[in-house]
Amino acid sequence: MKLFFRFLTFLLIFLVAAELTLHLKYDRTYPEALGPEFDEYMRTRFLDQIKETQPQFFLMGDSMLRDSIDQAGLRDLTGLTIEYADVPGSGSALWYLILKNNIALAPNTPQYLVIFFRDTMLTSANFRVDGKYLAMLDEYAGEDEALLLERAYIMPMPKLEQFMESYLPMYRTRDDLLELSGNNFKSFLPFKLLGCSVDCVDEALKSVFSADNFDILGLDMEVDAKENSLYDPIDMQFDHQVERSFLPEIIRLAHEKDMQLIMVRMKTTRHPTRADASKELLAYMDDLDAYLATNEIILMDYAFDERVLDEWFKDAVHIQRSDRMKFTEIFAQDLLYLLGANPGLPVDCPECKLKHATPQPE
Amino acid sequence: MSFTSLTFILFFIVTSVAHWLIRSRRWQNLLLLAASYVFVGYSSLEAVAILAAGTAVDALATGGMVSRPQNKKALLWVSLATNLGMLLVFKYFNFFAANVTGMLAGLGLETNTLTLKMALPLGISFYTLKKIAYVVVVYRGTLTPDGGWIDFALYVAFFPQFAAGPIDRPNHLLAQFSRTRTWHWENFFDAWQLLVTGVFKKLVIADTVANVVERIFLLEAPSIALLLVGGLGFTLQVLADFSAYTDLSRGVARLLGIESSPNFNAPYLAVSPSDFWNRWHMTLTAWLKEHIFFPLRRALARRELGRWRWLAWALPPLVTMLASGFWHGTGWTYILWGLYYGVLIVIYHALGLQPERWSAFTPKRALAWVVMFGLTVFGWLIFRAPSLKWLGDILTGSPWLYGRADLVACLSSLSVIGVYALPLLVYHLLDRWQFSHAWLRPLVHAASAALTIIYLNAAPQDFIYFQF
Repeated sequence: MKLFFRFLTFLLIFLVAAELTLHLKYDRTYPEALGPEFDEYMRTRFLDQIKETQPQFFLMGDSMLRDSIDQAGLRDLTGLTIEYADVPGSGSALWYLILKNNIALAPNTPQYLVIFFRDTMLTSANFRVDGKYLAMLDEYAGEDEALLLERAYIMPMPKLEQFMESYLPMYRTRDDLLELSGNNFKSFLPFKLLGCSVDCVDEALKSVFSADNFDILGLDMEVDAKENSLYDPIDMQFDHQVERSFLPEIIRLAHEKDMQLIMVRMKTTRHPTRADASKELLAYMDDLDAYLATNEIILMDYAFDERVLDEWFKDAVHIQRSDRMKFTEIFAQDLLYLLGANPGLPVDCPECKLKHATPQPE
Repeated sequence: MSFTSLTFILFFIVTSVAHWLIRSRRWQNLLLLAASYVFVGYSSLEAVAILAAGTAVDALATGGMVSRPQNKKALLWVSLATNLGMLLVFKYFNFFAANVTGMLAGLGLETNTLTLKMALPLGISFYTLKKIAYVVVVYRGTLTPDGGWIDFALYVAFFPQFAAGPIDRPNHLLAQFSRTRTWHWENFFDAWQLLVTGVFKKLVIADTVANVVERIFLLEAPSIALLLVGGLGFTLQVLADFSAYTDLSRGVARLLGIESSPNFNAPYLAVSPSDFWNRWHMTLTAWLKEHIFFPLRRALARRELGRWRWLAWALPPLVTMLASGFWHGTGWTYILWGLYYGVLIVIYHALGLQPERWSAFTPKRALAWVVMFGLTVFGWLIFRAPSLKWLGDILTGSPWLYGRADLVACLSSLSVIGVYALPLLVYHLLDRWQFSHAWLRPLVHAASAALTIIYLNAAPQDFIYFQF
């Protein structure tokens, strides 16, 4: 018993010492507001892009989009003016920010906003929002992002964690502390023996552990494992997730700016056919499809499309470079068919190649 | 449901409060059994069905052994066939199917691989061994199943041990289930140190080092130096991870008034392969010895082997370690890893090397430790390698170093591994030399708990031994 009370006393001393030290270092007041703080700087890369080229189509997605679509190829095949926000490591939170703080601010918004996603990404608000992803979000976030904070950080946070975030400085500042200690640890021997500082170590690690050096099969398993959170039982409950996600706001913003939304559901080799997908995921897909239809959003569905072959993929979600053009051709064909089959859709494209469009096989 | 998740903490609080409010042994056991099935059902309902079916077969078999002793041998075989059959189907079917298809393809016969589309049922490797142990002791007559099916089903499914052991002996656990448990504060005072240490080892050490290790083993062709650093990192990761799980499992069981067996005794201080296995995953080693090693050695010793008599001492460790490798996973890396230890034990035996009997703190023993530690790291390299081909290609084709960037990556990874190895060393010293300073142990635990706060939600990973 004595041992335990001594432990508690020491723990209390550590926590108070940490509180004081971190309070002095970071000059914080408690309770703190929940969620991360964003600086006022907001990147306008895509806004500038749209202003400059005034594209008809704007394609948005993560590295899956970058690896699936040959940008120049798609422009050539369709004759459409297209711009891209293919940000590796992005998720619905970042897509929402790019739409709100870049695309929607353009004087002439694109006629079509095309979002490439897979499985539950559109309604998983807290997918890719922590750690290194937070820095990416900060680039496109303004100072006041109430919806982002609420949906990506506060809503998924259990009450206990909310308390710790508000009152425990060690927990609150853990990312900073981990980065600081991580930098010291990883550069200890390189600095002592080779005079290599943190930047030098980062450079070396980047070169040794670059994507080109990874074993494809292992990387596939790694990618698969990192995406497990998309398939948590709760993430596959569409009705529960949709109002906690950025999807309603993405739709509202698109409607407000008269942009036609097209959602492109991509294939993953995790479940290349309907028979491979879980019944929970299939039910989720049905609910999402109905929701999109209700909101007049076009869905281009490649989730189980047999034209997209498994051997094109270099891992669970990325198409290898040599086969990228094959998917681009399929996508271009479907896009043009879609536009041709829907004459009511706003297409201001006298020179685009609609006449070459062929119907999608039944 | 990981022990370090909020879901488990809530589940455990509800279960333990209800458990301590109940005053009857029978209802306490029934509650723990129900909670254990909820724990298993949280991962998948199929896993519950498989567990229940397997348990029912063994309950019937052992019941039959008592009521119809003349049939007990047949019932033993029925039980063994069911247990091993289920393990073969759910764990090894796809491995065998893929290898048979590969072999047939090699002979020019094209066949479609028939695969079982089902995840490995949680804990199947662990509870199968527990069930076999139970059936065997009932068969031998050293235990009578008078606790009834609830106690037996609880022994099999007891949630603190379900996912990754310890593989406690039936007599040890069932004796505790046969008593009404009343709350004593000693339960808590015994448990908290295990819980604090377990969480720290998992979240701070194992999960952080995992990031360093994983990226090395993901490389297509790392240099040999980087591979060895990866092996060293995994040596630390696997101990921190598995011993963390055991600490948490034992701590959680203790809070329910149950004493679980320890699984580790400073395994990296081993000076010979058999010494290593007497210190690493001790409950598995005990099971393997009792059910494979000794029966095989006895059977061989009884035979007249003539010039083949060396088989009597060489075969048991080889078969036992091969079974251990096979039990650990469905891949040639695991099988080779098991065989590797079998061969090492045979070599040490053939050379008459028993360094564990040499006096401590001598240069000879220190050398034996260095050699054994090197062999252990190499063993973990085999275990962790994505494939044998990958490992073979690197050992035969990769250079020692690619250049300065590679050297920096090696040193950087080594720094991180070294830093995170230090707390394990401190824990070991605390355990080995019971320091007279009564403040030192709580001080270390308090520092661990405070540090853990920083690592919460940093990079949660599943416990490595869950996959087995």
